[in-house]
Amino acid sequence: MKKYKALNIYLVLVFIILYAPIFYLIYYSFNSGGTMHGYGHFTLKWYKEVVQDTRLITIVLNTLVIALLSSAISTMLGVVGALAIRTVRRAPVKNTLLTLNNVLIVSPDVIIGASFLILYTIIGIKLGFTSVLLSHIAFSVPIVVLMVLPKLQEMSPTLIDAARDLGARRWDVLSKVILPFIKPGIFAGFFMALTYSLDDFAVTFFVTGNGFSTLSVEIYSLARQGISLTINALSALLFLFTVILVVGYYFIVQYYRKPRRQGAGE
Amino acid sequence: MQTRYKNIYLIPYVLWIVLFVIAPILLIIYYSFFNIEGHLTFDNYIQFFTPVYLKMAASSFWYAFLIMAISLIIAYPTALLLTRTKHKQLWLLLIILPTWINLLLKAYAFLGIFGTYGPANTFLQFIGIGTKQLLFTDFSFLFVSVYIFIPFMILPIFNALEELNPSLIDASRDLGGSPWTTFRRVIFPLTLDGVKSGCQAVFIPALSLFMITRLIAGNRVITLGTAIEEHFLVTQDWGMGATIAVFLIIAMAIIMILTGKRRRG
Amino acid sequence: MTEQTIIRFDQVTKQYDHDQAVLNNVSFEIERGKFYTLLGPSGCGKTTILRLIAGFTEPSQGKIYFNGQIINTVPANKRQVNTVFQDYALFPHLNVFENVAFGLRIKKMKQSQITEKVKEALRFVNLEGYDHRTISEMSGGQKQRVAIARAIVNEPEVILLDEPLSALDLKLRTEMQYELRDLQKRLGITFIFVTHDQEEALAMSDEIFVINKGSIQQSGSPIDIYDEPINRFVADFIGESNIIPGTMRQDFLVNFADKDFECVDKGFDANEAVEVVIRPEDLEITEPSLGKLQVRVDSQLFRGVHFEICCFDEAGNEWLVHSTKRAQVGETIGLNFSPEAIHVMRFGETEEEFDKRLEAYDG
Repeated sequence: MKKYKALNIYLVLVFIILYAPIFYLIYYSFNSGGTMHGYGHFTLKWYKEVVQDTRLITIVLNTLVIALLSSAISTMLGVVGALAIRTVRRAPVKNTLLTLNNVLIVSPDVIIGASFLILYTIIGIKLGFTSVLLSHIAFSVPIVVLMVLPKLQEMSPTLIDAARDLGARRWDVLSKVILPFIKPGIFAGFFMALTYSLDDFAVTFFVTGNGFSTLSVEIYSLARQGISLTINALSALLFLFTVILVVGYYFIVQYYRKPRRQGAGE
Repeated sequence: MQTRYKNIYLIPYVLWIVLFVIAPILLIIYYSFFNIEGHLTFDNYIQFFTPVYLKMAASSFWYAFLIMAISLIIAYPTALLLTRTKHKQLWLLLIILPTWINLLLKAYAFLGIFGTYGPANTFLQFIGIGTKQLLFTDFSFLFVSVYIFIPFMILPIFNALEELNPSLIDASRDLGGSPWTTFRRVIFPLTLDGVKSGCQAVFIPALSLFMITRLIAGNRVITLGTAIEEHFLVTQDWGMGATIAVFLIIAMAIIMILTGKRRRG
Repeated sequence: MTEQTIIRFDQVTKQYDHDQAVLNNVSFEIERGKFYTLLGPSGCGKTTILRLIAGFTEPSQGKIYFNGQIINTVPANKRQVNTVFQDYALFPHLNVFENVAFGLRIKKMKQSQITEKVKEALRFVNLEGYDHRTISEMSGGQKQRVAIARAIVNEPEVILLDEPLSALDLKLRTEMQYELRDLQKRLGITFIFVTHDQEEALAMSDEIFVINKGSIQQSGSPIDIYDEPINRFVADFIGESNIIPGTMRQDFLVNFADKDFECVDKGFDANEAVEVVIRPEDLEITEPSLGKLQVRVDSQLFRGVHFEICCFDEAGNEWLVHSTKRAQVGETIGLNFSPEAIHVMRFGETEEEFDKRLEAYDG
């Protein structure tokens, strides 16, 4: 047991390094001096600046609207996709679909961004809200599919037979049996899509035109100009928001997780 | 029985695949044959095989490899220790949590930490090394990249370790294996799939980083990602950008095949 | 401790954190070359005993001796003991040959010697020619044999088997019972076998330890334990039994179901309240007038080898009878049994007290 304690120091160190930058940002967001060194005194000045900056607020709202809309739509598309993959019987077709599904997950953001940029230019979609929304939907769909599919495969086929046997029509089977069963997967997919959308920088950076911006892109352009404690204040608020989101997600997952068998004492 | 049953779910899903998966790849390939004036040509490919681009590709691969290797060396022991903690699901969540903080903010934090008057330099002064230029160096680029990618390496390894049947470890000990032998001959080989997916999850994005190179490495490090971004958004030479993207896609496919999971019974 | 003793537990207690003890002050000795079975319901502590011997866990209190030396803290990899795991724990990334060779490779044995030994071990468990199969290609019974070969190839002094037959189907299980017993005889080393299946225990063992709630209830040969269970738990857990409250009139005379019966038990106080055990197969169906007991048949099931008949006597005791004769539900029948079929148990008597009582009387 003593040996483990020494090893745990390593673990603690990893955690410290993982969290240090985040808390470093938050710490200096209360600094009255304008830099991330040399602490003046405690102030909420930067937070006030964030709240009063209407341009920034618009961008935050843009980001939220894009995130919520894109994850809602991609969740619907993803569930349909998972159902499609499940219904396909022939193995080669199924594998092809799965491979194509995973292309966007493993592709580097730069390539997704660049190729979507070409796509929108060819089709003639103006860069801005629509192009960003479409991109976010596009790269969230495969994630939802991957979250929903295992739940669907877990479902025993006799469950559907039973529903049919009891007189359910196709729509009833879907709404009363399948969807309730895969609900945890749908929720997980929605939350993942939400975080991917909120977190995305590279793809948005490519397909956003002038005049439309999301938070990531805005932070990038601010950061390129150097340090501004407004970003710190903003990141503290975002951190809080993320923690709330994660805790919410955690509890939803815990709630739906099947009760686990406790290790026997033997 | 129900052969005439139609899979209506396929229609929107396949539409999505065609529009956002297949079409973009084809378009990238198509554009790679056009030069900046819009003429059909192989010039981009010829140019890619000049030393300038080859060197850039090589250094991009080298950095991605370093990032992956360092991440692996740090992540494996972390994952192993995590599986031995109580409340490991909670600890795991704490590992994942930073990945949900916007990447840009974390990179931005390092602008302060590695800055001339930042805590990193204060620490260096304290241990007697003295102030160093940390920002815009290879070191800061590698450090920040590893920092950002490490949870993606820990996660698959942790999952592989969790799936490992604990009685296999007992069996190895029972047959005379010391803890180190057990690790080398049982634990590591059986979690190799997790290591592979971790490497995949780190190496491919590391090849195409451009945001960190711009912010932290100050254009000292040029990766394939930076080059693509530059051609598409700065010089507007989409053809050359697409050509580099084609090579990135090919590299990605090769890595996927190399690290592909083999099914075990 | 005799020359023959290989493992000795001296008042061993095992406790996880602040939970109740899994093992409570357990002492016993294991002799060389015998087939032992630890028998008990799940959670009784039998697997903990096995893990303590293997070295996967350390005792909270007490001492464990191996060949006369305390081995409490000796790590598993330094012990002369090998285990056959419940789920076999075969390494999926190694083939059959490499699985068996695992322990030998750790000992840095020469390749030629390894090949020879592994082949021999595989021959021993009838798996000749399976060397290069992967584990996933093997059936349940074959995996079982690989696991055994992997253990015996190291020539341990003791082999521990943790419910190794529980994953097999009934037919294969019976086959493997014969094989294991035969294997132990051929190898001549100590086997310690853990199971919750009493039939398995009775069929294979030289000696059985019946365990419940972290302590050993009774130990002895299968016949001793079957015929003379010392308490209700043992009587109930091993085989099926009728356990009836009674009173000991005097030596060799016991009263139950409102009648006095001749028996072979002795050493009780006069009129001591006791429990009486009669096995269902020791009850014989006769005409009511010829039987020692008259009972009414309540229900009957055909079990293949016999009928299982459930009856009630006038005092309200339930009697289970195994008979090749059929009875009619609702009719009154007579039950006959010999004095030897009656076994009388004292309340709360431990194994030591039981032995002492018999000794005191015989001596």
